[in-house]
Order: sequence, then C-alpha cells, then structure tokens
Amino acid sequence: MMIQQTSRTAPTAAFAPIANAIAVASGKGGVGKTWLSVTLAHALANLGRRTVLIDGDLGLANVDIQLGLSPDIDLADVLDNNVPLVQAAQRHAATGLDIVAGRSGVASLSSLSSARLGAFGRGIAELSGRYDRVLIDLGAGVERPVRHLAALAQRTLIVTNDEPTSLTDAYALIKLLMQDGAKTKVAVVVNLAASKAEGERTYKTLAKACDTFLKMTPPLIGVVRRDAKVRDAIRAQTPLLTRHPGSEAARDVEAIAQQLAQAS
Amino acid sequence: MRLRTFTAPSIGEAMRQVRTVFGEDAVILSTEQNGKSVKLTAAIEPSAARTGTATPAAVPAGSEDIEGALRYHGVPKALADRLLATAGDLQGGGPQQALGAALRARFGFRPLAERKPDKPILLAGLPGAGKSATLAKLAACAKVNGWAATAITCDLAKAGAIEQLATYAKALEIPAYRAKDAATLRRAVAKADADGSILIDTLGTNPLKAGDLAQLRELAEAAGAEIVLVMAAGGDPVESAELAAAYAEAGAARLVATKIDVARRYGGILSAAEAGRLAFAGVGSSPEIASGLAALRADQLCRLILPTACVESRLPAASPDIKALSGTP
Repeated sequence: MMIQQTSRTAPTAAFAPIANAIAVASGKGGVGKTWLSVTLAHALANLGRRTVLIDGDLGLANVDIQLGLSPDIDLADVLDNNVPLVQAAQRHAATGLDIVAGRSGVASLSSLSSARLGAFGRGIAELSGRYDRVLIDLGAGVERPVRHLAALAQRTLIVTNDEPTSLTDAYALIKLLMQDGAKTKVAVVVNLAASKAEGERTYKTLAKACDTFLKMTPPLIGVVRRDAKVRDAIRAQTPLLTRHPGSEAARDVEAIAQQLAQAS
Repeated sequence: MRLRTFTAPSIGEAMRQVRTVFGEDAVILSTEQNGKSVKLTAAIEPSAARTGTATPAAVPAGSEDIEGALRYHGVPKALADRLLATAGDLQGGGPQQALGAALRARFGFRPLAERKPDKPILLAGLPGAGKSATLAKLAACAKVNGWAATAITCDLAKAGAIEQLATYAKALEIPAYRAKDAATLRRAVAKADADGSILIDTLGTNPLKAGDLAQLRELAEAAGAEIVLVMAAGGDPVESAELAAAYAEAGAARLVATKIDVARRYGGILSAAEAGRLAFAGVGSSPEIASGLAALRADQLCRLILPTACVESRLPAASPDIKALSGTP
C-alpha cells in the first residue's frame, strides 16, 4: 500500500499536545529508535512512573519482538476493528510497563485518513489519563502520520546518530514539524555515540543546521553511547535494564529518563 | 538540506571543495582535525533564498554607457571625467571592460579578508557605519581561512556595544577584550594571538572634531594598528569625500564599503576612495555576519556601477561568502 503523500501542512497545529506524552522519532530508520523507546519506558517505570509504550510504527512494529511479547490485541485491532486503545494496553510483567503493540506488515497507520488519525489521537489522550507517561514509538520517515503523532505529544525526542543520512533526516523531520506548526517540544537524543564528547559533537552539527536554516535550536536531552550489551539484549529479547543493568548505555538512557520523569 | 562531509589535508582545501560542490551558500556545520587531515561537514538548504548577496542595482535609464552610469551614481563630475578619460583610452572591448580598466587604474584594491594582516586592524568610521559587523565578518573570514582572530572593542559608550561584541565572539569562538583607552588597548593587543587577526572596534567618531581624530590616532599608535575606514554606501558623494579625506589624514589607507545591499548609488564610496586615496578593502553586502566580508576588486566594482551586462552575475564573483560560524571545535 502506498504511503500517503507528505502534505505541506499536517493537521497538527490545531490541538494542544498531550501533556504527559513523549513521542520518539528519528526520520531515518535504523538509529535505535525502538530500542531507545523500550529502554526509556522501562527506565521510567523503574523510577515509579506509570508508563505505557505505544508502538506507533505499525508498518514495521517490533516493540513486541524486542520484549518477546505475543499480544492478543494490538494496534491494528484498535484501528481496524474499533477496539478501545485502553483494551490494547497489556501489562509486561518483567518491566512493569503497559504495552500497546503494533503489528508488522499491516501498514494501516501509514495510510490512515486524517479522520482516523484524529480518532487515534483522541484514544491516546484518553489513555494518557491512566498513566504518568505515555511513550509513542513512531515509525521512521517524515510522512504526515508520523508528524501527526509527534504533534500529539508534549515532547518529541528526535533520535539521530553521526551518519550524514541520519542527521539529514532528523533535520528534515524537525523542519517539517516546524512548518506544520506543531506545538510539541523537540529535543535531540544522539544514539550509538562513540563517546559522550563525540555525541555532543554530533548534536552540535545538527543544532548548527537548525539554528542556521530554521532559526531554532532544539536542546540535547542526552547522548547514548554505543554499547555491545545493547545488541546482546536485543538478541536475547530482553530489556537492557534487565539483562545488563549498569551498562554504559543503560546509564545513559536512565539519565534521560530522569529528566523526563521530572519534567512537567 | 543537503549535507556532506569533506576531507582534505588543510581547512583551506576542504573549504575549496565545499565551494566547488555547494557554492557560496554552504554552511559549515563542524570541523574536525583527524591527524594530518581535516574533516569538514557542510550543508546547504536548497530552498533557502540567497540573502545577503549583493544584487546589482536595477539598470537605470540612460546608464547603459559609462557616462550615464556615472551620472546615475552621482559620481562627482571631476572624478567622472577622469574615469571617462581613462576609459576612453581603453575602449575597444566594450564599456564593461573599459570602465573596469579605468577603475583598476584609478583606485587601489587591497582586500582585507583574504590575507592574514601583518598588524592589528582598527576599524573607524561614523556611528552606525557597520564597524562592529565588519569586525565580526573579518573574524568569520579568519576562521574560514584557518587563522586565529581576536576582537577588541574600544566602544564602551554605545549601549549594548560590549554585549554585541560578546555575542559575536561567542558565536565565532574567539577571545574578546575591552579597552577603555590607549593604555588598556596596548595591553589587550599584547594579550592577543599575534599570529592571527587582531581586530579593533572603535567608538563612532566625528571627523569634523579634531579631538575625535586625535584620539583615533592615539589608539592606532598604541595598538600598532592600521586604521581602516568603514563607510556605508549610498552617502552623498561630496560629504563622503570630505569624511574620507579627514580619516585619511588620521592615517586611514583603506576603505570597507558597507551596506551596499541597501544602497543603489555608489558615487559616495567612489568619491570617498578617491578623496582619501583609500584602497578598497572589502564590501559588506549583507547584515549576516556569517556571509563574511567580500573582497571588492575592479571588475566587481564595475558590475555595481554598470550592471547592464552583468545583471545575471552575482557579486562578488570570488567572495569568501561561506557561512562558517561554527569554526573549529
């Protein structure tokens, strides 16, 4: 199914963002966005925040795979069969998280009409009342549904690494969100950094582009260092904070979670 | 945004690659020294409109020839006659070539931004001429060319002057000092990196007051600096000539013409350069610091004055108009 054409203006500017929602986006795929979403949600839960993670990447959903889940109900049921979003949120006992799983290969989110996207947004808003934090793991790309969901959230974390393609796509997403008039607060996470200093250098590169071309500078919320233990945890379908607590990447994500846990 | 990394043995070579691939609108996002090579990340936003590039003035009626153009720009008759006489001797390749050659023969062109100055540069001029912005642009050019820059301001009276310098210095990652008088200026210059550009901003002076010019001379002597006049284009030619002559008497030998993007007539800077025997040191064609200070040579000055055949040309053709505020890490 074809992805809808990117419209010049996504229907995002009209409504106020959901105060406790955090979208995780990247523009480019393969930068560790879903892993970061899962680990961040886990870290928030460990901090005592009631947290739900929504896999908003229906086309290539894999939150459930990373956590080794076999959900009975997923987002496709919500979107296609009008199952309430609340019912799709299922407890993952090992992390204390609630998960709304996606369904790989369905791709229905990417082709949803504005009306159904709006209904989905209302479902998230309703769900948000039950939690302290709502994380939405968005699909890669900059198309309208991605931007729509990002704009629903009070905060959008843009995940990038030092690859030029990743930086370019992260910039493109930030630019389009601005053009849309989205009220979400954008912040940058540099993932897969060789070191903290390298990560900060990568951030400065993106920040300079935003400052020069967009006249705005998204803040850096954190650098996550490259860590072989992440790959090991993913292969084991076990959260990093469970399998390798205290690892460098775990500590880096926990530092971001601390900020998000405290932010109003 | 198009983003690309460039690796070269030197930053100058890397910058040349950037210009070749992206042109003059490229933005340097980061630079990194890797052993003996430099890795530079640059980007361009294709949809961004070029801002700050000087566009030749619309061709006025009757200015298709040299005489008409000089008249349109308000060039004083005596200077116009001298230029016409020189151009007449050289005509044969068309008015463009003739005027270009005449300008080359009658004016000096010594660009400030392209070579590391061998002494501090003290920028002088009327209030609002663009001295502080010129300082920042020269510092940006120094960064692009790979040498150090130090900013010093003697302008402690204007509201916000120190904060403005601090903002520029922070963006350019260069040291900045304040100097309240000749003695503190001497000390500030002594602290600056002598192997780079030492750029001194001054309070706007009134050249009709002998005291102002004497103070300027005192500052220049204390710093061992060359006085460079900063003058906004578009001024009255007679007035500009008198001002330039006064600054020349104080020791100025070069002229930076600013704000040419908001002026349509350039007789003022021509008559100033002639009256003060000032060589053209550069031209400010944009309020954006990152656009740098462009060199101004005879053919580029010609395009400003007689743009008929050059309407499609962007001026200056070989400017250091690279937006490179991030500099070295």
